[in-house]
Amino acid sequence: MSLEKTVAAKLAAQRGQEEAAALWKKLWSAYEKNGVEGAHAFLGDLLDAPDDEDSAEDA
Amino acid sequence: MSANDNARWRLASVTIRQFRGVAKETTYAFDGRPAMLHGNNGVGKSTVAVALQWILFGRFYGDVLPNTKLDSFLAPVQGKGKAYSGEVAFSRGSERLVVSRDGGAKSFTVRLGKDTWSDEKAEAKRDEILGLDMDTFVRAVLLQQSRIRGLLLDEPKERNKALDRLLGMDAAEHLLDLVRPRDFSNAAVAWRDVIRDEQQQLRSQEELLGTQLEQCQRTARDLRFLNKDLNAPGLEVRYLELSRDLVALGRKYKVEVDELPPVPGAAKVASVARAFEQAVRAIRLGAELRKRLTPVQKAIADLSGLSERSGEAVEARDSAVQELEAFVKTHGDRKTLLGERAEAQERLKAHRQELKEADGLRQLLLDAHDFVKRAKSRECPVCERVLPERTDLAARLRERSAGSASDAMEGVRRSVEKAEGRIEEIGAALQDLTVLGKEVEVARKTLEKVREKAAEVLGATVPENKLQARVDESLGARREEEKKLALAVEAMEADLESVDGRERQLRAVLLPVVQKRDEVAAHEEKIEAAKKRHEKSEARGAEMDRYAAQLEVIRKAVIGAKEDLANELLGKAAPRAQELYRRLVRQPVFDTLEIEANAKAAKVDYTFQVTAGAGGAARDARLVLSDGQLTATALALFFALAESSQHALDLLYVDDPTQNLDLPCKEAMAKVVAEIARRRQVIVSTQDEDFVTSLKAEGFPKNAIIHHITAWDGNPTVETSAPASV
Repeated sequence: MSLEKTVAAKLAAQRGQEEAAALWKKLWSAYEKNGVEGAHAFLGDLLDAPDDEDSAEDA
Repeated sequence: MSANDNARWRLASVTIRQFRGVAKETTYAFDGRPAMLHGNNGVGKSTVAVALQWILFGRFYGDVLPNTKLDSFLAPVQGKGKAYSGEVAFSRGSERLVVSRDGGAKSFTVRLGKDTWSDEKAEAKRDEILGLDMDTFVRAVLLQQSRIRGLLLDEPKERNKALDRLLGMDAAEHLLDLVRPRDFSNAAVAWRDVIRDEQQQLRSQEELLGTQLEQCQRTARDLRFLNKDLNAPGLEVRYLELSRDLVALGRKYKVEVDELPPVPGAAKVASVARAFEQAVRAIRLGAELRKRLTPVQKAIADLSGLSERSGEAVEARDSAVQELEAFVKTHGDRKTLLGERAEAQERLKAHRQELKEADGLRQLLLDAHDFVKRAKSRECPVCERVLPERTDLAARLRERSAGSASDAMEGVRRSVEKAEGRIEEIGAALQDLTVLGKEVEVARKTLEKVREKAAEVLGATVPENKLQARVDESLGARREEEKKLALAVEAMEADLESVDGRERQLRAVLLPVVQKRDEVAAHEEKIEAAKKRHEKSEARGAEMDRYAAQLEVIRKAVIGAKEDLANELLGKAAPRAQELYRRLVRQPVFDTLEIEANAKAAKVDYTFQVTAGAGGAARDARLVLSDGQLTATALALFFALAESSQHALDLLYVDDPTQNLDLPCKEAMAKVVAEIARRRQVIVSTQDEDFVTSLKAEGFPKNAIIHHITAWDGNPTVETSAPASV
């Protein structure tokens, strides 16, 4: 069995991890399509950290 | 061809265009048969293995070469084009599967019989038809030396990575490197920090504003402002009252001023204050009192000047007259002096005539003396009478001219000098008299001007003797008038100062209260806006927490999956790997190979050990085996993994398998490879001619296609021998 399916099976076996399973599907898709760069870009898009502008706006 | 040959796909050909070691186009035909590619280093053998993976999957794990872009790596070594492309053909019985990739057009197609798929559908179809993905391909089909090189390194991390590559676990390892839940939980914390920091700042600001407002209000109450005044409507009412009082003052002092504009809030106060200031200035400058006061003050200034100048002018005039009179008394008036001078001049004239005559007589006597002395005459040279004989005429003449003539002249000369002195004295007196006369005239004119000015200021001509008194009297009256007006102006200033003070107090005391209230209100709005923003930030933080949790779960699942997959692969391959280890490595003591994957908290490590017989003490393989033995161990594992994998590709492509191997090991390797080649399609790429010889000696199938790459000039020169299929 491939890594994709094995991980998906492990996630499916856990209760309440449907969102994690869906996220894995997207992550794998990005990795499969564009390799490390694709997965990195996908995770980068997900990551939303406050930047200087946010801090300045709040201040 | 066996029945198995019809069940699985075999490699039929690889066509390479403008790719790495191929500047134009080269096709390597394999016809589904075992094959050998051999030739010296640098003739483009590895280009075929790299092209095979790129055409099928379009990518590589990690960097193909560190710090090199894929485009640059794939471009032809000789030539400028980057439009690399290629085609891989597989055959299964009568079926033909063609996979094409074009780097320039960025296209990928899969063609099976009459069906053709492109791009994503083609990718899916490829995996479906071949029954493998890239992980499996690199684990079970294509062995490149570079994939096992890390096993020879001392660093455990590198050895783990090499085993990852051998087992096709690169994807799992890459994803474990990329999936970092902590980044997301840190982001969540950062969002909450932003909220907390801002809330803290807003609270501090709120407290400060509260304190400042309380201080402003206390000050206002101390100055008798009422609670009802301490807000915007209160401020407006106060300004309204002020406006009414200001208009009333205008009426009182007969200056028309407008009512002040309304003050609906603190922002309007500045412009209203300017209007107020202008109105006060208008009253101050335009009041009738001030209009009346101005001419009085001017008259006082004029009269003060007159009072001072009139006394001085009379005194100057009197003094000049007195001096003139005293002079006349002493020297006489002009007429007298002129008469005296005329008389003196007459006398002088007479004396000068006398002097002339006396001088003539003397000259005559001198001439007579000179004559008598020269002629010795006996007659008088004057009267021509005969002189007595004894008379010495010359001596007598000399005596007379030197005596009586000279005395007379001397007397006349003194009279002349006296007359001249007197004339000079009279001239000087006349000049002094003229000067004194002019001084009197100037003093009189000055006095006249003062009187004219007094007539102008007093409104009537005033006799000289009453001038000073009248000026002083008028000055007193005006000063009295000025005093009364000044008191009235003072009262007006007090009125203006009163309203001005009230306005200043409104600005200095009441306005800050209203402004501070505005600031408090604005701050409350800011807090409300911040609450909404915080809700969003909180939601973003919560989302980051969710992702962190999900990624943690994914990460654990990947670790677990990697461990499962690795152990499953190792388990399946173990017996064959053990057999090949013994045949290829031939370690006399440590004859048993143990490889196992172990999941840790954040990664999967491998146990890579050898033991002396089953149950013997395990030793780290790196500590026991030489580099060549380690390479042979890796190849044993690769062949075992390849043979145990289930997919639809009946192909084993081995690129340069004999690095670091000694001759016995190479011979054992040739035997193993020849055995496998008899069961499935094996393609061996090597620069090792001994190995080629060994392969042939060990029974590498006789129908194998041999590609001998004899030279390279940007494109390989290939000599192919393809015996008729057996």
